[in-house]
Amino acid sequence: MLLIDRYAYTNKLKDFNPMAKFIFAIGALFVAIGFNNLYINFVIFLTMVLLTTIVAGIPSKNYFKIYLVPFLFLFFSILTIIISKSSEDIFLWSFKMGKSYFGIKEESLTSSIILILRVLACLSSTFFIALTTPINHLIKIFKKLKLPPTIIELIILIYRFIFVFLEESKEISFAQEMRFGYIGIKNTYRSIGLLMKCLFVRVLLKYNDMINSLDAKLYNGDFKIG
Amino acid sequence: MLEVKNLTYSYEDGTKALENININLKKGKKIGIIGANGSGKSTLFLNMVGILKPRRGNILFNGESIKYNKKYLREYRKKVNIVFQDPDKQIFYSNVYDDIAFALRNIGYDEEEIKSRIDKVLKRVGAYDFKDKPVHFLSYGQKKRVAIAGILVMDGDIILFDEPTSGLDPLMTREIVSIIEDISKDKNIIISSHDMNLIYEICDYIYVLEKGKIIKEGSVKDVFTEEEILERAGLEEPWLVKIHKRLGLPLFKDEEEFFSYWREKYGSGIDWS
Repeated sequence: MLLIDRYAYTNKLKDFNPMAKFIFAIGALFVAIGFNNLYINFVIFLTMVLLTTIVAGIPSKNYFKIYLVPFLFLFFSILTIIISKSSEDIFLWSFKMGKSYFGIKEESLTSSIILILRVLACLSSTFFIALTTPINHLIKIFKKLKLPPTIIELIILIYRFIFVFLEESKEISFAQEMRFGYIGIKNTYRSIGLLMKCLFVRVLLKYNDMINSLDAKLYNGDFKIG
Repeated sequence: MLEVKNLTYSYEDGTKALENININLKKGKKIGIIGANGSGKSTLFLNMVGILKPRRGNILFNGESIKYNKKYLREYRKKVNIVFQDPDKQIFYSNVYDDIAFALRNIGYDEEEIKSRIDKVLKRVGAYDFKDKPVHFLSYGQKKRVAIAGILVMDGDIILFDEPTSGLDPLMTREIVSIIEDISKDKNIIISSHDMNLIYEICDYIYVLEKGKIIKEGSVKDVFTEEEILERAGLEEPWLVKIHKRLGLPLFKDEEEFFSYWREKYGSGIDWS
């Protein structure tokens, strides 16, 4: 089971009015993008972190772990923004390579800080909604907001199949590991290839099973929700 | 020899899946672990083969606590391995031979050795006749044999069977049981199941798992005559125990024993006319 999902079902805010949570988080998201003010974004970030860790009771260690993946992307984007090249030494800090200087300019530093805070504000708002609201509540909100049924259908099915997929891939890779499938690079490549093949076949089989069971439950082309 | 000592395992978010588990393989040659769905049987097995790492406690192998580095685990798994429940998730090739060879090729055996081992193992599990058939043409029971062969080919000392007969028809169940009985002649085995009749016939020592805790352990006769314990664990008595307790018959180990007792006492046939 996914940790994020487990928290969404077990946190202290799970029964709090989902619409209020949703409007609050999406509102914060729009403010963060719209105003793009350093201080406002910092306040949003701080509020969201406190709300998620202290009020909703999600362990801060695991909470910040979730940031690791987006941070990797952030790190590389910031790297390309912050470092610039010039023929003169106009930098706060720089090093020389051949005839040109590479370094950090003051304005690129400020724009990076603004960017980082904007990203943090947006991420923390998204995580707030993801970690405190079970998917079923979100779907009710989407319905109230009159999202097209096809999109809601897709969300429901994709969400369901994420777990089917994860579960299957976990079990297959355990079985491979028990038979030494991940010893050395060559075996690892082969095992990953086999894993993908198996998953593909199994997902197609599951899809067939699903069609059969939909037929059995009198499915006629549109997916009824709530 | 394998021993589980004070093992506690909890998920990332802190919910306890297993609590203070003690299991010693010295207690029997064929150990049964019984419990309802979700009682922790599979999690326990994954801990025992080193895929999951316990929060507290140890797995002792030959008196030493197992280490969680790649090199150690590789050697460990040559000795202690597991047959998972669903054969479809442990057969990766569409060719029976290649699939059984998977583990041996991964650890770099030469093809000649692999061939002789596979032939032996195919005969042992009764899969020799369909060894050239593509896997997707095999029945569920045949796939189960291939899955067992894929582990058996490593010739370890201890094999864990996670729900070995679930989803099998009665005939296949019989056949898988006799394969397991055969394997248990030269290896230690541990079986998890909620099929009480199966465990009653095969195993000699039982652990009862309920909500991640062992609530009872003992010989087959000790455990299976404790109705309240079984009830609490969401299980039921094997039918041989039921007729023993309710009809006052002696406690038989298997069907055959019961039938021959009956024959001796009442003659071979009943005149229904």
